[in-house]
Amino acid sequence: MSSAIVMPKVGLTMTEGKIVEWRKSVGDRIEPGDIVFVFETEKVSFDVEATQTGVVSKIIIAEGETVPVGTEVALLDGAGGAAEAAPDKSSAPEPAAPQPAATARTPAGSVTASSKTRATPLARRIAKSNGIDIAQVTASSGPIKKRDVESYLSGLAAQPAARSASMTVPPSEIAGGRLVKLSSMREIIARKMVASTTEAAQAYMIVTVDAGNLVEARGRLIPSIEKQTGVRPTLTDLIAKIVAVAIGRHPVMNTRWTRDGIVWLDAIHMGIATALDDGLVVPVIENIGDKKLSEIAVQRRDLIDMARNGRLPPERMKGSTFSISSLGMFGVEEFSAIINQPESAILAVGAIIDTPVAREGAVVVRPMMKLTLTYDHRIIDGAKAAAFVASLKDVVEEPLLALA
Amino acid sequence: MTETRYIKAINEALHEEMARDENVVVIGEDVGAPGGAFGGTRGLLQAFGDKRVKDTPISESAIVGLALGAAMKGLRPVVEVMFADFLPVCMDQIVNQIAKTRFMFGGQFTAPLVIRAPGGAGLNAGPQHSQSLEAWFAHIPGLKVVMPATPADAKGLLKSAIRDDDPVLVLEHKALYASSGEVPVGEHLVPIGKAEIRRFGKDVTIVTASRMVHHALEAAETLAGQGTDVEVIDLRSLTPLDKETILVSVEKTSRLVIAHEAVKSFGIGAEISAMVAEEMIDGLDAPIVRVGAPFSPVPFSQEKDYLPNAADIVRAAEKVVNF
Amino acid sequence: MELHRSMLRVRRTEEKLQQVFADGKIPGFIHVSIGQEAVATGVCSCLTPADTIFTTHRGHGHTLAKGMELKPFMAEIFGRANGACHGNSGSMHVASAATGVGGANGIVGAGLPISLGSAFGSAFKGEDSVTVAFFGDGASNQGTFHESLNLAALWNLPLIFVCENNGWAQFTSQKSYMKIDTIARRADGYGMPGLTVDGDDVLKVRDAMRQALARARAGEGPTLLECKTYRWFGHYAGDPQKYRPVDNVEKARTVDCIANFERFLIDSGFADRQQLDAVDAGLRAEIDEAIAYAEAAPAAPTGQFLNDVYA
Repeated sequence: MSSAIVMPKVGLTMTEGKIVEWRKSVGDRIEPGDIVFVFETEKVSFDVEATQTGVVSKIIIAEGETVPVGTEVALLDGAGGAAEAAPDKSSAPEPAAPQPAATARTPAGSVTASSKTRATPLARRIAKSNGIDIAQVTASSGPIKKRDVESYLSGLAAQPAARSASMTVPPSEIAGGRLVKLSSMREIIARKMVASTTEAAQAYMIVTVDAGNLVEARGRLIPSIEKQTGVRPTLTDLIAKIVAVAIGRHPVMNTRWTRDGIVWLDAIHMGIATALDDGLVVPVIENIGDKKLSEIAVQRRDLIDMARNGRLPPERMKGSTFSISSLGMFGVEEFSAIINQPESAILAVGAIIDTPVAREGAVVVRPMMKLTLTYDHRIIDGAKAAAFVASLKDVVEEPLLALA
Repeated sequence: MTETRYIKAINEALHEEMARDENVVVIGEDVGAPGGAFGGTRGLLQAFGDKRVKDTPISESAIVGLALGAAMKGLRPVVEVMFADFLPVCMDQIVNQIAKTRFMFGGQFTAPLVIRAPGGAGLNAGPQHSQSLEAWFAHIPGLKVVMPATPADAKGLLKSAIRDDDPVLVLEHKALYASSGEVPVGEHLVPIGKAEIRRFGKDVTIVTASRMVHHALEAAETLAGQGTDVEVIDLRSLTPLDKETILVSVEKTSRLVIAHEAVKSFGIGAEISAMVAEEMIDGLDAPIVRVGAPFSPVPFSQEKDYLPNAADIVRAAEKVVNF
Repeated sequence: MELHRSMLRVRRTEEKLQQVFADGKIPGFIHVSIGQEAVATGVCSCLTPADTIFTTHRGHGHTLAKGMELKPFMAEIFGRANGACHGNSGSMHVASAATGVGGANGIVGAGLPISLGSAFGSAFKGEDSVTVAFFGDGASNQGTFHESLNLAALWNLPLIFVCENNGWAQFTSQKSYMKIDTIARRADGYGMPGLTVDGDDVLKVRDAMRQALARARAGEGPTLLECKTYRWFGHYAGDPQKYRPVDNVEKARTVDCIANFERFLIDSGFADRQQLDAVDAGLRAEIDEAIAYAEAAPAAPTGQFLNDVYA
């Protein structure tokens, strides 16, 4: 009647955890919901709740010890607990991110997570070219083989289906609808969005800025830029340049996560999310940090024209290091965008809406705009994101600060 | 196409080439009036006379050396050594003299000759008359080695060998002499150095030669019934080796089995395994498995026990597929 | 006079090579034939470029006596790119298609079967060219010797077997490795005539060779010609010959086929000392020139040898 509490897997990449604190001791009775122990990984500190009733009969792994996911860390004597004889792996809490095809590779009690991953050379090649960590793949038998990697990959792609399996219905069973086959752009968008949400640790930060000075600045710049280039600079052009300036002051926003480490990119290439009739493309303005507003305006106009006519060449859609997305023209106040993989952050720009705000004790109506930053918490900590957003707010509210 | 026996196809090749080129001469023991120990040279003496068809005493070194001297003089000798097992008797002439003539003399002299010898087991001929020694000769730079598996290839490869300006060792298989197959009518040449895919498949590549080709095809049928789709490559030439066909196939299937009748250890399978592993390790999804005979001389009466067969190939393919 | 020049050319070349080898300028090893020049010259003087000789590891003498040009010969010994064999062979496999040298062989007795084929080829083509197979007393015990003599006699080939019997096979004296002491006796066992001559008398060698040639060209088949001679030096250049009794070496050196022949020429009025010395001087110059040519010649470019493996 004994069951075990194991080190749970929390998040895609977790392979081991270090027990930081036992909240219960031998002899303590636990009920579902009680916090039994606390563990730590490189990125998270986690309270493990009990999912069954019982009395702690043995603590196997002590505080300070690090063990692989799936290792038994304590034993319980079930006393009429809900999942009596059930093996405790299934009672381990399954937190936020559901697991794709990969389950704990190491059986309970074994300590092989730190030993070399056994995989055929072909399996490694396929994993590498798809940018996945071979260690995440489960072998069906023996070492990891091509078919194991392939099923892992299709598991990733099928993720939303897994999460909401009950909501995925075969088209034939949907009454009163029209089936449109997936275009390759749609497939790519789907794949990238899913990959982004499952791989990056996305966190959000909103700041409301007073866009008054920004709008006015734009108005003052239009005549000369239009005369120079024939193009009227938009607010988005201005915001893109301001964001580039802010990034220059907060280089952590211009990074990329890789398996070997974080790459701090030298140049800023700004992706400008652009809606098309049937989808979304993100044309890239390269080296925006070095470009004048007039150049940015012209390039933006050219890229978007090409995109709308379906003539945007693939090279112009690649290589962005940061992206901005603006839905202000639709009146959307605020939204959170999904990071454009493999970047580390994306800025969503909402509409400018006249809003009553408090200024020096009085209520005034000001053109307020909400900027939502989605950032990858693997790389960018909250404080860093906040600092960036604060800089951004400063410069948007006083564009001349871009020169300071 | 005509249905022809393997030994007859060889005979046809000799008749055709001797008619085409007056410098082609046939030399060996019992090749004249007896028509060759296995009938390979039947009718040649009558057709071309005793100036061009020479019976010799039992003197392998002298015979093979004579062929070299004649080739250096501009003739195109085709030597028959009665059993491949007798090649060791004249190894010096083959390895130190013939294979190295062009090299040692900087091209001043060359050795455009052919040595034909039947090898292989299956007729209970015993340890000294049943060997597969191709690996020895494939290891000698300057020599070319071919192993026809079908009557069409026996004819086409022999004709190509006779026309080749380098020395070619044609290792026929005595147990295939009586086998039949379709042979194209008219001039039929098979290029040396080019393998042939006998069966296309996508799950595992089997590289093989000579008699084992037939076992491999049999194994492929069995495996197809199990849902495994096999690609069978008949090497036809050992040197030069058709690396490209092998590598392209393994890239497709990611699994390789090599099957030969010769003793497994240090056989041609070892070279092909090493070559594939060296050139495309990251294309392999399973270990490379070789099928060959056990490390023992060929026993006289337990050949069934000793010789690798289709079942062995099936097991090897299963091993890599289920890895 | 031509005989004198031929022998002296061999002698001076071999002496020079010994020296150059000792200076460390030649890769590998060489086997000089000093003391045996009369055999080479006596035999080859009867041959034309259309005739082919096959020789042994101790083949410089035969090769040069047959008429190979000194420059490609030297370049090959030095292992240069423009050597007769592209530098692939050096001393032991030197060859010259142009002058009918079918190749020196590093395997004792291996040239004999090959010479059968050359003779066969001559007869096949209806040419009246002949083949000469040089070999030493040591080779007469290899299986190939026996197979070759039998087949040559059986097929009546235009082939002359010339055995240079210098009493030593590598490091072993003939008495220790053979029961009989005259190799020519073996000819009868295979059905061909066998002659033994004094290998240090160039005229006697030439006469015997002429007889054998007449037989061969007349289609009467092969002959075994045994030439008894002395090997002055060791098996290979630098060999201290510890296995050889000192008086045996000394005795060998007392018989100098060239000195003897020079004495004969002078005594019978064919030439005087100055003429002979002039020939000597001319040869030395020619040889030095060839050595300079070889030394200056370029080494083969990397991987060039790969071009000579297959057609």
